[in-house]
Amino acid sequence: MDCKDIERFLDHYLDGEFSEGDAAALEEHLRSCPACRGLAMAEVNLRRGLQQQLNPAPALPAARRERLVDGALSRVGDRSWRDLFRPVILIPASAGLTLALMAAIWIAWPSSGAYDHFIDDSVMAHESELPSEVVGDEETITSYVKEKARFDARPPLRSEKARLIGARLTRVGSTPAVQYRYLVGGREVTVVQTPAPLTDERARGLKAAVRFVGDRGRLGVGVFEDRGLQNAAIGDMPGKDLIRLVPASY
Amino acid sequence: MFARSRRQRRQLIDREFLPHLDSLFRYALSMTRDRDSAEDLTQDTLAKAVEHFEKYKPGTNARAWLFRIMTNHYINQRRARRPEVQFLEGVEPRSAGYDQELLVRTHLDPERNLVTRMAASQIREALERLPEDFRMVVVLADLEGFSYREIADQVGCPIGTVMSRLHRGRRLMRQHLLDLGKQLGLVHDDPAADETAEADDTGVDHVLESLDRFRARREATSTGQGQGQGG
Repeated sequence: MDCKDIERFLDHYLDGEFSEGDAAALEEHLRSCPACRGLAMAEVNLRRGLQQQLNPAPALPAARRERLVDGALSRVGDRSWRDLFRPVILIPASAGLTLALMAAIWIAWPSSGAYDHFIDDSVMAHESELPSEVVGDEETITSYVKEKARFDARPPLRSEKARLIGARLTRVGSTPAVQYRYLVGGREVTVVQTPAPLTDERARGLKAAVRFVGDRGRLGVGVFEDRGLQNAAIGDMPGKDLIRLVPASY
Repeated sequence: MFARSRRQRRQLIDREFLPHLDSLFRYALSMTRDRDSAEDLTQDTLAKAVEHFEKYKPGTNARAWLFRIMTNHYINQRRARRPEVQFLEGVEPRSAGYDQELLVRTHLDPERNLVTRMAASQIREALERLPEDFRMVVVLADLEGFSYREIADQVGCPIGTVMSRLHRGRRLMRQHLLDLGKQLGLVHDDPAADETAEADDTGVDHVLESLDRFRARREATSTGQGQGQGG
């Protein structure tokens, strides 16, 4: 090897990408050439200096870490939501028949249907255990959500068994929502509330309209509409027990 | 399906990905050069990693896998956003060489070499001035310690391209460092005015021993971080 080779291959050598034989040849040249030794030494000092100055990566503040993880989790949710519905955009263009088939399935097979995503997001909210933005007595929490929420929010449960312990503002898809935390017999119940998109005559009355009762895994689910608000109650108890907490629903 | 609930996904991120979050974010920041965009890129990367977790083999190199997801995602976004831009634009085919003599003179003293006398922010500035494709491979190799093979896999180009980008990127960066050193008054054209000019330790044994230590340490880092590509 000569000086030109050193200039060309020094990187590979220092990067540990050289075979033993090539490394030995390069070192042989360094033994006999002070100029190349100087270059090699300077390069090592420079690289050590860079690592010393820039490594390890600065530790992110806890709040930013939390924000990054929280944002990532929301994106996972959003993406699967879009993926699920992407075919629905394509189907009308391809065949009216498919639409008809879907309509038939829709009619013949009533289920949580339109509420699936609302329920999924509410279950996630329940499981994420994010801290409340407001805690205190019911009055404090009520006035907080009235002031902060971007819709006419109010605590959804009116049962002596359910004690309101906190709330936070959140979103369901792009819709603003409030997440309430209740304690019911020592167990935590989450209610996610959004403006109701499907308000009908019955829901405008005093009685809440129950839309769905069931479960998601070990968690009970109750969806109900009450005076322009749509709510999903999630808790570690059967859905039918959850729905008993809803104002005048039974 | 794995990690269906938000809680499971959270646990997955905490266990597998959080240990790499600091360096991932730094990498994102070095590419986007903007804090908000870096946050977006990091969030997208974590989201994709969660969604495609079945492609990852537990126990293999999560770090290399995450960096590959981030690099791919960033390159795809960039293509979609600016398809017509050449990212090596403005760089001479055989990029202008730095003053090698000056580099040697200013870096022979290990304690007082130019790079250790600069602020970390000034070094980052020299790095950020590199064209994007050079910057990417220089960060992956010199800050993150990935091997040529791993970088080729992450960037999605032949290993020869990685080597030439790395070589040219490093040369450009050294040129930037020396220019910046001059502006800051840390480097002088006259050797007599330079604090580091007198240090000269190029004895054979000393140099070969230093090179050996440097290479051994780098290989250890690269092996520890670089084996067993997932997915």
